[in-house]
Amino acid sequence: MIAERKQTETATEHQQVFLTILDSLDAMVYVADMKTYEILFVNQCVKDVFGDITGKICWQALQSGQTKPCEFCTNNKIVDSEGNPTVIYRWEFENTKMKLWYYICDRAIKWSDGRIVRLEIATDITERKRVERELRESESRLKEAQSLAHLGHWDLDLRGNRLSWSDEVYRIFGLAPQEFGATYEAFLEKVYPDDRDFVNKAYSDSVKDKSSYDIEHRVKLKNGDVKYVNERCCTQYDESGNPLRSIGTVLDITGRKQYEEQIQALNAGLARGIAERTAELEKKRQELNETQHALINIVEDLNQKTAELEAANAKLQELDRLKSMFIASTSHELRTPLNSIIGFSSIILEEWLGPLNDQQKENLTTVLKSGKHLLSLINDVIDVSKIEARKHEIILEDFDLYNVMSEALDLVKHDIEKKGLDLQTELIHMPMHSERLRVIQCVVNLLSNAIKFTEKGTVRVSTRNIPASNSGFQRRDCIEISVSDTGIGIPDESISKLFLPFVRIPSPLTLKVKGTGLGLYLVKKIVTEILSGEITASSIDGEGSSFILKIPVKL
Amino acid sequence: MKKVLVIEDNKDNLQLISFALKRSGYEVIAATTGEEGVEMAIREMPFFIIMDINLPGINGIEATKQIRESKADGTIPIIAITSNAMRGDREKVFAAGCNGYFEKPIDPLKIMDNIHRIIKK
Repeated sequence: MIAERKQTETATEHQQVFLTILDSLDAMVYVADMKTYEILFVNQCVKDVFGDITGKICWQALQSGQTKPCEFCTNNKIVDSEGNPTVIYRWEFENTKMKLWYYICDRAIKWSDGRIVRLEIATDITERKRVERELRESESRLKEAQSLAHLGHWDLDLRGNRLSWSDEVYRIFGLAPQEFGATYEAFLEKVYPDDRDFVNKAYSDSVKDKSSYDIEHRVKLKNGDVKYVNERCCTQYDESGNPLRSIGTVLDITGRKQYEEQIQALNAGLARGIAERTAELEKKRQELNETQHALINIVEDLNQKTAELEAANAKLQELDRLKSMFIASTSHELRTPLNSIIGFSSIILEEWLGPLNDQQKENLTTVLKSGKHLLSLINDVIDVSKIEARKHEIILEDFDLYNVMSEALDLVKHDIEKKGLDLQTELIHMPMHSERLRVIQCVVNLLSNAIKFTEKGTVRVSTRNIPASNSGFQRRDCIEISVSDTGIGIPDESISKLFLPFVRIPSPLTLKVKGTGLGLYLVKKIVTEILSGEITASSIDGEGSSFILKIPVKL
Repeated sequence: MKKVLVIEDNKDNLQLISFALKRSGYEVIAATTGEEGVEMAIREMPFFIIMDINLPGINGIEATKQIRESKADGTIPIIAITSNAMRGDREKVFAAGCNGYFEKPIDPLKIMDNIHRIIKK
C-alpha cells in the first residue's frame, strides 16, 4: 500500500515534474479532443497568452471570431482513416491577427482515458521568420544588385574542390546550375580556349604567391557568343599557409569591352580618317608644290624666253639698223655712177656734142629714162632706209602752205602740160612750222602719181584748214591736202595694199608707167613718222582716185 | 673769155660742169684737191669758183675759208656743190664764205640756171 502509494506518489511527483518541464517550455503546448475540439490541457506558455482556456473549444479560444473549426486544422493529417495516429505533422502557421509566426508540431496521442487526442506544440518563430524574410530580401537585393552590376561571386573550397557560383555567375556563363560541374576544372572548361592557360596560371600564381588575382578573360558561351569578364579573388590560408578557399567575383565587362572595342574601332577609324585626310592633304600639298615648281619653271622658262626674245629683238633691231645703214651707204655708191650716166646721156641727147640720128636719140632716151628710174628707186630706198634707221635729217622751217604747194606744182607743171591735163587748184594760205621739204616731197609724189595714172581729164589739188576740235585723230590744228584725179582708179581690193612696199597695183598702165613700188610706202612713212600725220586713199575703179593727207600745222 | 675755176675731184662731174660752162662761153680751169684749188684761186683770180665740198685733203669748207682769208680778191663768187647726204652743210657753206650752193647730182642742163641765179645776187 505504502509502496503502492509511494508508487502513486512517485508517479504524481513525476507527473508534477513533467508538468513543470512543460510549463518551462518557451512553446505553447496544448491537448485537444479531436472530435469535440475541447481543450484538455494547456501549459503555462498558452496560459500566458490566452489565459487558462482548458475546457474551451480550441478553434474558439485560439482563433477568435470563428464560427467553425479552422480550415487549416491538421486533425485529418495525423490519424489514418480508422483514427489511429500516424505521423508527426510539422508546419508553420502565421496568425495574421496577432502577426505572429509559429512552428507547429501536431501528433495524435492516446490520452489518459484512452481516447485519441491531438497534441500541438507551437513555437513562436516570428523573430526567426523576420530574420529569414530579411535574409531573403537581402539575398534578393544582392541578386538584383549582382544582376544589375553583372557581378557574380563564387566560392572555391580548395580542399574538396567544390566551386559554388552565385546566380549571376551562372547567368554570366550562360549556364543552368545542373549544367555545371561545380569544380575548378569545370570552370576552366568554360573559359575561352585561348585564355585558359593564362587564367589558370594567373589563379595558380595568386594562390601560390598569395598575390592579388585581378584579370580579364573571355568566356565561351554554349551558343558560341564570347563574353569578357573581370575576375578578382582572395584566398584564405590555414596556419601552415596551406590554401583553404578562394572567394571571388566575376564582373561581366562585355558591354564595357564592346564599348572599348567600339571606341577603339572609332579611334582607329578616326585615326585612319585623319591619316587618310593627312595623306590626302600631303598629296594635295605635294601636288601644289609640284604645280608651284612647274609654274616657277614655266615662269623661269618664260623669263629666259623673254630674255632670249629681248636679246633676239635687240639683235634684230641692230641688224635692221645695220641693214638700213648698209642700204644707205651702198645706195650712195650706186648713185654716183648713175648720176654720170644721167648727166652724160642728157648732154649727148641735147646734142651738145654733135647731132644724133633718130635711132641714137631713141636709144639714148631709153638709157636716160632707165637711169632716172633707177635713180628715183635708189633715192626712195635711201630715204626709206634713213627713216627706218632714224638717220633722216630733221629740218623744221616756218613756211606758208600756199608757197609750198606752188613749189610742188611748179615741179610737175611741165608734166601736166605735156599730158594736156586740166589742173584745178583751191589753195589756202596757212603759216606752218614743219618739215617743208618733206611736205613738198609728199605732195610731189602724190601729184606725180595722179599725172602718171590719168590719161585725160583733171588733176585737182586743194588744201583746207582743220581746227583742232574737228581734227579727230589729233588734238592739234591740222591742214588737209587733197590730190584727186580722173584717172584709172584703184580696184577696191587693192586699196589696202597701196601703202605696202614694192607692191604695184596691176592695171593696163602698170607696164607703161614706170614706178618703184616704194612711192606711196615712202609717203606714208614720211607722213606718219616724220610729219605726225595720216594719209588716206579712196577711189572709184575706172573713175579716179583721191588721196587725202592730214598733217599738224605745227610739228 | 671769163675764167672759171672748178674744184672737183670727181672726173665725171668735172667734165659735166665743164661742158655746161664751156657751152655758156666760159674758160674752165680745174683743180682736183683743196690745196691745189686754193693755190689756183689765188694765182688765177677766176671770175667765179665752183667748189665741191667733199674733197680729199682739205675739204671745200676749209678751202673756201683759206681763199677768203688770202690776199686774193674777196669778192670772187664761190658756189658750193653739196651732197644732201651731208647734214648741216648749207650752214657751214655760207659760214665759210660761199655765195651759194647747188646740190648733187649735177644736172648739166640746169646747172647754168643755178649758177647765174647765184651770181646775180
